[in-house]
Order: sequence, then C-alpha cells, then structure tokens
Amino acid sequence: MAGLHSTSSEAPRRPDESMDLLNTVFKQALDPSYGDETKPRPDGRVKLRSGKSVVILILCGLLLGLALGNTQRGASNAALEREQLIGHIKAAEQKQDELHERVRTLTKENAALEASAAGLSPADQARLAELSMSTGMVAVTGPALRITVDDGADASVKGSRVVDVDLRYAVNGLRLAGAEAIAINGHRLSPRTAIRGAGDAITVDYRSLSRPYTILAIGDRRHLESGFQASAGGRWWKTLQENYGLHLEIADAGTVTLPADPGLSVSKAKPLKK
Amino acid sequence: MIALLGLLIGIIVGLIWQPALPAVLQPYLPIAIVAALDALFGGFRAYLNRVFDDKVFVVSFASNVLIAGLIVWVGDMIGVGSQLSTAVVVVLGIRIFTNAAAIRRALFHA
Repeated sequence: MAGLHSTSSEAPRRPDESMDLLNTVFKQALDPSYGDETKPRPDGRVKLRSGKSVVILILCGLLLGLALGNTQRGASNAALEREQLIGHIKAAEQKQDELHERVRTLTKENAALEASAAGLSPADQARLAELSMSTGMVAVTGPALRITVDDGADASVKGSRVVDVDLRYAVNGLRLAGAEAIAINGHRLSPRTAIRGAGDAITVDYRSLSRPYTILAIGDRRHLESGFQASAGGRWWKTLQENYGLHLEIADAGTVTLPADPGLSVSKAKPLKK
Repeated sequence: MIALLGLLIGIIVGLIWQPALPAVLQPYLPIAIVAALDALFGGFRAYLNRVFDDKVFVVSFASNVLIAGLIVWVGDMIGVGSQLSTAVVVVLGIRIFTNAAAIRRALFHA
C-alpha cells in the first residue's frame, strides 16, 4: 500500500482515485510478495513440493475438516432436540386427552348422582337436560350434517388457506340455521369455545387442528343446509370458494354422537338464587 | 501431486479425528477458514503463473489467519464483531473470486 500516494503527486488525479480501496483489492488479489505475475521464474513451481508448503496445506485441510465436522454435528444435534420437543408435545397432548376422558366420566357420574338425589323438581330436571345438551355439557346424538372445508389446491394464491375467521363464519352460519350441537374435528363447541388462529394453525378450544376441517352439526338436516347457505356464513364461504379456490363440501352424516365439551366451565356467571 | 494429497489428508484427518479446539477459539474458526482459503487460492494462482514461493505462501497463510482472527476479536471487544466479520469476509471473498477467475483463465485459457 506504500506506493499508492506517490503517483498522485506526479500525474493528474485519476477520476476514480476515491475508489482506490476496491481497485487495490482487485489488483492486489495475488499477494504482491509473490512478485509480478507477468515475470515468471524458472523455479516458480518447484517450491510447491517443499516441506513448508505441504505442512501448511495439511494444516489448512485440518481446519476445513474440523469446521465440516463441527457443522455436521451441530445440525444433527438440532434435529435431535427437535425430535425430543415433538415427543414432549405428543406426550402432553396424550395426557390432556386422558384427563378430558376422566372429566367426562366424572361429569356423567355427577349427573347420575344429581338425578338420583332427587334435589331437583321434574321441571328443573327437564330444563337441566335441555340446557346441558345445548351448552355442550353432555354428549348428544342425532341426525347431522357434515361440512368439510379445506385449503385451496394452489398454495401460492394469497388467501387460499382456511383461517379461524372462516371457521367462525361457518359455525355462526350453522347456529343461525338451527344447529343444536356443533363439533369441529371431534371437538365439541360450547358457548365459550374459542376458535382462534395461532401462527399457521387454527386452534379450537386451545387444541391445534390440521386440515381438512370437518364440522359436524346436529339438527334438522334440510333446514340446516338451506339456512346455512342463506346465512352470512354461507355467503362468506361462497365468496371464498369462487374467488380463492377453497373447498367446501356439505354431506349427510347420518346419525352421529358428539362428545361433551370437557373444558366447559363458567367464570363470571353465577347461579340465580330463587 | 503431493500438495493436493497433503490437503486431502488434512481434511480427512480433521473430519475423523476432530481435534478439540479450545472453546475460546471456536467462534473464530469460520473466519480463519475464509482467510486460509484466500491464502490457498493466492498460492494456487501464483503456482499457475510460475511465481510461487513457499516462504511467501507460509507467511501469507499465517498472517491472513492471524490478522482476520485479530480483527474479529477486536471487533467483538468493542461491540461491532459481526459487522467487522462481514467486512473481513467481503474483502477476502472478493480476493478469492478474483484469484479464482485468474486461475480459471490460466487453466482453461477461457
């Protein structure tokens, strides 16, 4: 770099003088200590076989091999951690399912005990039965409609994935049409069930769902179908189908049994003391 | 050739033996490798142009690795480690590409 400024005092300033850094990097890419590459020497190749060069080459190879091995091991460690995390999540979900089953069993036992304890009048009993069906406290069975929704086939089209808003529209449309019990992918909906989006996945009752989404609605099938199509939810889905290519299929599901919602509880409502 | 053999032996030994580098030096390994590659390419270009000198090769390798590591270390001390590391990689990368182009011209006359 010593000779850089000596030229500028003798010759007129070059227009690209301020770009000296880049010029230097390009022109001096071959270390100047090697000498001018246009003046080859007779012994300018033999020395590659000397001990010094070979030692340096082996050292270089060692560095490269070391880094390669480190990176490979790092990648496999990350994959291992991911596997372990997935294992943890699966175990936790399984535990949650078991606890849900236990809650359902205990709720049934409670209902049986209540009925046999004769604490309620027959009118109250009937009201309780009716309410527990519509709120999702007990499992119900009846003729059902199955609505299957799925993402559009072309994933690159913006808006072609089903999001939580779409599911909410569908569920609300069914409720308006008179559905008495609704479940999405086997999860029973209660008045307090949240249908939300978390990242890329839709969660119903805080459980992640994967596509395709199957909505089962128990009620009068003909009224359900026509009422759904006429509702805002039906119109929303018609737009989605026509403009974004999402799939919606309505089919007769026969008689189905929908399980109770194990997470049913109240936080603010208090019983009215008569 | 004995030089290429030496390089290959080094890589294989490094992969299998995995010499334990002190943990302090581990973060500087990638930049040391880029610096070493620069010295390697420079040496190969000099060899093809028949101006190779093994003393210059050794000195350029050692000084490249040391200076690159030193710059990144100082950068870490003052808090601009990643930016200085980027600068070092950019300059070394430009030199590597320039030397590689010259090597390509010398080898294939194209």
